[in-house]
Order: sequence, then C-alpha cells, then structure tokens
Amino acid sequence: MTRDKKRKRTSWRVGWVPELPIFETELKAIDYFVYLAGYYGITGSEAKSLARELLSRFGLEDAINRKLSTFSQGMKKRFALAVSMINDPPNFIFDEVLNGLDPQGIAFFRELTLEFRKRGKAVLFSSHILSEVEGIADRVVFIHKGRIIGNYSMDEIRHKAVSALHLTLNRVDDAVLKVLEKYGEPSALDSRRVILRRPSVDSSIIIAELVKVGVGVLEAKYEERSLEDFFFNLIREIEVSNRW
Amino acid sequence: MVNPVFYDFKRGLLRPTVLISLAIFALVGVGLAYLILSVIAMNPAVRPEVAYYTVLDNSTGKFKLELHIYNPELNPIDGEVSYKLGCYDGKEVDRLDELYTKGLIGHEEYLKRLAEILELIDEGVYKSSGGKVVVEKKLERLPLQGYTCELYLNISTPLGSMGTIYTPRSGAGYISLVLGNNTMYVLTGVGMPLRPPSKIMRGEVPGNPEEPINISGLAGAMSATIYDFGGRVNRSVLLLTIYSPLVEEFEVYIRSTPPGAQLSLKFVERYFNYTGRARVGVNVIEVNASLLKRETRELPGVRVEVIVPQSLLLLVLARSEDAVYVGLGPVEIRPVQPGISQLLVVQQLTSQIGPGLFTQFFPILVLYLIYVYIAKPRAQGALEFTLARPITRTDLYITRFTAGALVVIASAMLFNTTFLIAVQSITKLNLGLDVVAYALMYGGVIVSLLAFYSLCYLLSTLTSGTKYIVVSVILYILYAFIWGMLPYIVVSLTRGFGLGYMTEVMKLSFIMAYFNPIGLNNFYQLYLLKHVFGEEAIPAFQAEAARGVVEPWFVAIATITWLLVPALLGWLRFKKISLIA
Repeated sequence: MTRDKKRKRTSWRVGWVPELPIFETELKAIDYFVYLAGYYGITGSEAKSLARELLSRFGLEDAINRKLSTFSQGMKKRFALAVSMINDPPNFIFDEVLNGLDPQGIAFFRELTLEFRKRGKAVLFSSHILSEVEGIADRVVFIHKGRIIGNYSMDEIRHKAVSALHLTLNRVDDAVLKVLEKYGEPSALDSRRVILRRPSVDSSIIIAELVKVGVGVLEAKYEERSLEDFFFNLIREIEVSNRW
Repeated sequence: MVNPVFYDFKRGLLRPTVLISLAIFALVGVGLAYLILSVIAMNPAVRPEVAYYTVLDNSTGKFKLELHIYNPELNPIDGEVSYKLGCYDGKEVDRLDELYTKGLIGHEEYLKRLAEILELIDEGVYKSSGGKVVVEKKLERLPLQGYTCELYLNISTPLGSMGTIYTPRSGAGYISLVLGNNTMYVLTGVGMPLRPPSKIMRGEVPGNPEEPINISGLAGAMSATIYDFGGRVNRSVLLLTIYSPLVEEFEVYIRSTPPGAQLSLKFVERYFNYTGRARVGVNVIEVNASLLKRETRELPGVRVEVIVPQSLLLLVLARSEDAVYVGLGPVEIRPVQPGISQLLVVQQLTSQIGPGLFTQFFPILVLYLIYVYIAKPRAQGALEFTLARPITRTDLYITRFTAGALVVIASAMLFNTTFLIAVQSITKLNLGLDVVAYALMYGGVIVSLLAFYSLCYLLSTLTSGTKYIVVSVILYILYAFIWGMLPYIVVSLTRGFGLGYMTEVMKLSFIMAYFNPIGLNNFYQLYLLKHVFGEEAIPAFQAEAARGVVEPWFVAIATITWLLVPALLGWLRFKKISLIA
C-alpha cells in the first residue's frame, strides 16, 4: 500500500477535533460541511441532510446558515466535531478540545467522550486539565517536554497514587509505630507527628485502635492524591533519575 | 472528487467580487461593441445603401414610400428613416436666386426666404423591419398646381447616418406624371446622395423592329447602381428601383458604350446585353460577372490593380399591344470590398478591444481566485483541516487547480459570448466566423488566462497571504503593462527610429510574447485574422515581423509549457510545504 493510500485510509478511520479549528471562514457552516462531505463521497441532498442532522445534534441548528467567521471558539469545536462525524469513524482525536471552553462546553465534551467510550469508539483525548482526564480516561499517557514519561491504565494510577493519613499524637514511640504497621506504612516525622502511607482501613478504625492502647490523638488529616500529583510525582522521579 | 471540484468552482464563480467584475466586463464589452460600431461607421469604405421609390397621386391624395436599407454587402439591415415631403413654387425659387445672384439680398435673407417658400406636405419617422420601410397614407394636404415636390430623407443605421437638408433643390425631385386629368408625382432613387432618376418614356409600337421608337410621353422613373464585388468573388449586383403606373414588369439591359444610332427594338436586341427582368419596386438583380474594368499597372517595386473609370448604360423595356415603354440612363458602378465590415470588426476584435482587453485586465481576478483557493487558507492554516479528510495533498492541489481553471474558462466564455452577441446585435453584422475562428478567439483568451493562472498557482505555493498578493500583483503589472513597452525601449536604444522600426519592434514583441503568459493571446489573434481573411488582412509590417518568429510549433510548445510547467512545479512544492498557520 502506498503512503498516500495509507494516509487516506487512516483519515477515513479517524475523526479530528483540533484545539483551535481553522476553517475557510467566509463560508456558511452548511456549505463548508457539504464541501467537506464531498471528500467522503457524500454529495448533494444527502450531504445537506447529514449536515442538518449533525449540526443540530451538536447544538448548532440555529447557526447552520451562519458564516463560520461569526462562530465562537466553542461553536467552532462543535462544528469540527460534526465534520469529524461525517463518516462516523471508530476513532477520534480530541486535541486539547477543552481549552478555551466554558463549563458547559467542557461538560459537553466530557459527556460525549463517555458516550463514545460506551459505544466502543476510541478517543485520543489530549488535555492539560487532568481532573477532567481522570473522569473519562481508561488509559493515560503522560507527556513532559515532548517525551512520554508514563503510560498507565487508570487502575494502575489509582493504585500508585497512594493516599496518606497525617496524625498528630501526644507521643510517637516504637509501640505506636508497631500499632500503626498493622494498617499501613508508618514513618515518624518528629516526636509528635507521624505519617501512615497506604492506610488499609478507614481512619476512624486506626484512631480507635490508638486510643485503645492509650495514645492521645490530637489531630488526624487524610490526604488524597490526584492525577495531577501523580504527574508531578512522575516528573520529580524523572528529574531525580536524570540527576543520578 | 467531482463534488469538491464543483463546489470550489461554484464558490469561485459565484463570489460577489467575481460576479461584479464579470458584470462590469460585460458592460465594458457592450461599450466596446459600440466603439467597434463607431470605428466601422467612421470608415469611408463602409456605408449603408438605400433604394426607394415614392409616389404621390394628386387626385386621390394617396402617398406611398417604400425604402430598403442595405449594408455594404447588400444584405438588408435595419435603421431609422425620417422623411419630409416638401413642395414649392419653382418660379419663386428662380426669382430668389436672381435676387441673390444680383446681390439684392444677403445670404441670410436668401436662406430665410427659401425656408418660407418650402411647404411641408408630409413628414414621418419610421423604423425599418427586415431592412424595409413601407409608408402608405392618404395626405390631407396636397401640392398646388404647378408646384415642384422634393423628398428629404434622413437615414440612421448602425453603419452610419446620411441625409439631406430640408431646403429647396437639396432634396430628390419628383417627376410629374400627367395621365389625363390626373397628376402623379413619382420618384425613384438608389444610394445617397440623392440623384435625379432617369425617366421611363412611353412610345408608339414601331411598324418594324428596326424603326426608331417614337416617344409620346412620360411613363415612370427608374434609378440604378451596379455594385461590383470583383476580386475572388467575381460578381456584380444591380440595384434597380422602378416605378410606373402603366407597366408592371420590364426587361433589363446593360450596354457599355452609348448607342450610336436612334433607339429601335432591333438595336436593343443587337447591342444591349439582356440582364434580367424587373418589376415595379426595388429589384436586386445578380449579374454573374464583374462589370468593373480593372487593369494591372506596374509602379516602382509593386504591381497594383486599378479600376478603370467607365460608364454603363441601363435600359429597361416593356411592350404592350399599343405601346412600348423604355427607360434609358447612365448607371454608376460602385466597387464593393466583400466582407469589409466583417474585416473591420474582426480587426478590432483581434486588437486591444474586446477579448484583448479582457485578457489584459481579467488576470487581476485570476490572481485573486488563487488567493482565495490557496494563498489565504494556507496563510490561515485552514488547509490543514481540509487535509484531515481522506484526501492527499495532491488531491487537494488538483481539486482546487481544476476548480479555479474552470472558473477562468467559464468567465472567459461568458465574456466572449456576451461581447460577440453585443457586437453582432449592435452592428447588425453576421461575422460569418466558422468553428476554427471561434476556437482561436475563445482559445487565445482562455490559454492566456490559464497560463497566468498556472504561474500564480505556483506562486501561491512559494508565498502565502499578503506576500502572495504583493508578488502576484507585481508580476501582473510586469506582464500586462511593462512587458509590452520593452520592445519599443530596446529597439529605440539599440537601433533608433530608422526605417523598419515598427517591424523590429513587432518582431521583438512576438519573441517576448512567448515569455509572457498573457502575451500568448497575440498569436491566437494573429492566426484568427489569417484564418478568416487570409494573409492579406495582416498589415505588411506585422506579417514581415511574424515571418520566422511566429510558427505554430513554437506557439504550441509555449502554450503547453506555460500551462503545465508552473502547475507541476507548484505541485512538487505543495507536497512539501508547511500548511500550519
């Protein structure tokens, strides 16, 4: 297969929504859609009815006859999405689609991605808003300075992104640490403070156990780690390993 | 890929800028058609011909005027005819002439009194249909007994206007025909200025054919002119108008020398050439020979054909049981250059008027089209989104190139067709061009514009956005305006303004035209002129300059090179350039 044929086949199987879609903006939405549909072999009234259907589906029914130059950033992304759906491909690339969107727009793409996932479509979703990625991705590839620094499934991340229980006690000694070892990985910070990493049970059980053995619990703080922390942690690890 | 091509074509052609420009070009085309018309109308070799007869029956008051208008090739053309029928007492005019000659009245007073003498009997303005005007009416006012009547004609046609001043003795004088108690005013005429008609006489039937015809009175009037087409055509046409209330049909004879004896029927048969039959009215009689005498004369360095002045005699003859009707008069032979008006039109078409002008100015729209198709979206980064469709860069390049080329072809065809229709409907001339001529006319324009299009397409892959506009406009100015001046400058500087200056300039112009996409049209126009009218239609210096320089093969190679090479180089470049804004 020639490179051109491969390229055509790939384009046929992938729908692309860029971060900043750039169109030939002097055209009306429906005209540009029909024009692009022509490249998929869809012409005339078929292309027009498809345009109406998809543009309406993505909330652009009132803008069908408007020039693309009048579209907002969010509308442009919805239009690009409608165009990417012309041949209903099995794969999508959402390239930083959330940038510049209002909360409604962000929610729209989040739900759409989840819907695609349910329908068995693959979505390559690039974003800097990791909190959003956390909610929709099955697998995350971390890129730092143009290099892939990690490739994990969400289960792996959840497992690795451990939480910790910060405790302030009236004393920290070997007996206390022995108690805590039953529930995780304790480490004393000073004579009164200790961190329990990867706690295996709820903090209330651990506090109850400490009180039972006569240890006064002055403060207990549970720390949850986000995808963002995970990412920064990865970066730190890379930088440390690079230093060595 | 048909739909994107069609869509790109549609959005290119239906852009307001393109549509408005085409409308302006179409209007300019109509204006140019009028310019061509004025060029033809001002050319002395091209003028309309008229043939008419008119009769006023003084007993019934019935007036009739039938007038035919022709172009120089004697094909009917339409125009507007205005006439005035004026009558006056001839003795009064004689008296005024005498006073004026003796200096008793001044020129102004003379003219004023002349105007007072003339009595307007009737007037009218009519548009011809199929080259013909027929006026039939009953007049309320009639000339007084013993009055002289004249017809004053003004004819306006696309090929020019002509007319007579409304003053005694400047119009065409009617012949008074007295038939019993009835007086009829009869007048015939062919051509302008108006000339008095020849009289048709009534004679007694001679006892034998050799007996001279005894004339007994007036029977009608006739006028004629022979149009000699000469040259390759070798034919003459006799335009003859006859009016007689007594006879319907006449035999027509022509003779080249005056009769040496009294006119008899035998003499007519023996010495006159029978030419055909003519009926009362306007007759067009074909004579299958050139009647104009031509002689070839040797002048220093050249042989020229000259027309020898001569006069012919026209004789019309009709016989009845009790009378013979005969009209005899000199007839003018007028040489006609066949296709002169067509030649003038085509010469104009192949000059900087019309398609030439379109080729000169339409490229500005061509470069704008490419800006819309490639240069602008490329600068914006919009092509990247289009390329996310299942197409390759080659597909996109070809699609847009084809669409733009189709817009150029459609625009050129639209302009040329509008222009030709305007020329034909305004000049009322059938240009008589064949398929090859039309192909050369349309092809020249299309090839030139496409060559420039191809060049700008290449440019759009080398630059983009505003840079493209600047460079392409500079290129346009260079090719459309500066290129044509260079031969004059170069020849002036290298050779000076000596003999053969124009030939040298023309020769260099032809050579340089090969290197100018817009200049390709010049070759096609030259071949068009050659094809339609032959080598002789091309001015001598131009023919001399073209010799050895303008060859069909060179033109074909230049055409193909200009069309393909820039487009191919552009394609090679387009495959590699960054399309990100």
